[in-house]
Amino acid sequence: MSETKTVRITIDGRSIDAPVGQTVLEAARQHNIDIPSLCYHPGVEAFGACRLCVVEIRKHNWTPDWKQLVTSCLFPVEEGLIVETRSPEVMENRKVVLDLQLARVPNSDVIRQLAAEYGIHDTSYEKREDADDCIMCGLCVRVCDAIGAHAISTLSRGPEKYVDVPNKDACIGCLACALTCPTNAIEYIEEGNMRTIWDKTFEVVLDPVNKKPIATPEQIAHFSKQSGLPEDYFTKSDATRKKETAASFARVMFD
Amino acid sequence: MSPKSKTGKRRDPGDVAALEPTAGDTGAKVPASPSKATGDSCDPMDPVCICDTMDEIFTHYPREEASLIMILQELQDRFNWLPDAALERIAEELDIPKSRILAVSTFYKSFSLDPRGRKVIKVCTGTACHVRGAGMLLEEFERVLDIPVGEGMTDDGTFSLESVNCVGACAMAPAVLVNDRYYAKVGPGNLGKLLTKERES
Repeated sequence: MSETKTVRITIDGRSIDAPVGQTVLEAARQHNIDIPSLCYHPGVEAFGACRLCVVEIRKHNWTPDWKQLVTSCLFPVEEGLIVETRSPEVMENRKVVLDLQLARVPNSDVIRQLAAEYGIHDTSYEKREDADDCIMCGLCVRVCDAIGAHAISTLSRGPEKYVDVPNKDACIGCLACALTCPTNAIEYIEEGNMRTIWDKTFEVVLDPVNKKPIATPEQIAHFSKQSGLPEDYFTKSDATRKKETAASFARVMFD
Repeated sequence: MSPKSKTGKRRDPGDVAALEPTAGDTGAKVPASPSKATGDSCDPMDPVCICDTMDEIFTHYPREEASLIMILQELQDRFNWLPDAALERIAEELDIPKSRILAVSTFYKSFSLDPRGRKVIKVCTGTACHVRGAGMLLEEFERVLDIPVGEGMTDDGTFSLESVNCVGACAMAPAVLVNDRYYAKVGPGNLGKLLTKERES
């Protein structure tokens, strides 16, 4: 492995060496320092939408009373950076964010639990009527784009903004959006070999051995095209594939 | 929705003053949208027609993601709305997912994904117009045209109705814009006259 340049930063009084290019959130998590977040996912570009990962920063050349609140998921590490993840300002900020989130998604268990951790049991704002559990973090959109299906997008703007699949043909039924959604707001049904998501029903290919659902034919075709691997690579579960490989090794070894 | 035409000549307040659009309102002199006529005669439901229009629009802009909004604007100018077939074509030509094009076209209020009338009536509901009774005027338009604000068009396909926040013509309050033409001091009294005039032209 090539040498990566590192910088020394301080998080909550702990001195940490972090590689250049890493964000404060990544550096903190790597050293088991907890910063809450909802819209962050290591697999896709950070977005800074949920505002929960705010931290307080100071730089070595700033006067001591200077500080700034930044979203740690977007802020890159730099030499001499001083980070506080639980300062009074940070906690106050997160409380406001959670209070607002609670007004938007009053029925979400995830948000309710998180808010309770910060001492908020009920929102001080007016609750949204007919609320679903979507916090508009846009993670599903980014995940869908990363997968290459480009089916999901946010439509409209402001208070009316919502997430939808405007182009149903593009959805390959891979469930990536539903499984990464921080508040489990995207519903799907899986029964036998049928899977329904975004009002679109797919037939699911079952594992040849344990009969567990693996993937939709659309998903298999998409992944195969993207990876250059044959389609039948994607029609088996990892467990089945391991067993098959083991069996073929056994044949080679003992025959 | 940027007001391009400022206040025009002073008119008799009692009269429905049609202030002709000033320079920059139509693409007549701007090469970017050379012929409104092509758009008007082109049927957005006709795939061949759409193709020809789109071919022409694509010659005005580089084929890159950054051109998206300009292309959508010209398309909106030509048809008064964004036909689905045209969006498909843009997705293909610029290599942008259609979902993103829809995100952009639903984000901006100046784009419409539903067919709109030949003439779009924009009733200004900015502060000055609001004070001078734009709300009542809007209701009156809804009643006379029998269409809700922001949706659909009249049965004959002539008018669509919209409310806008400020057209920058506060001295003319309550102001109404029909396509690019400004009307000053419109009220329930002279609204009929306005509609008759627009129907005929």
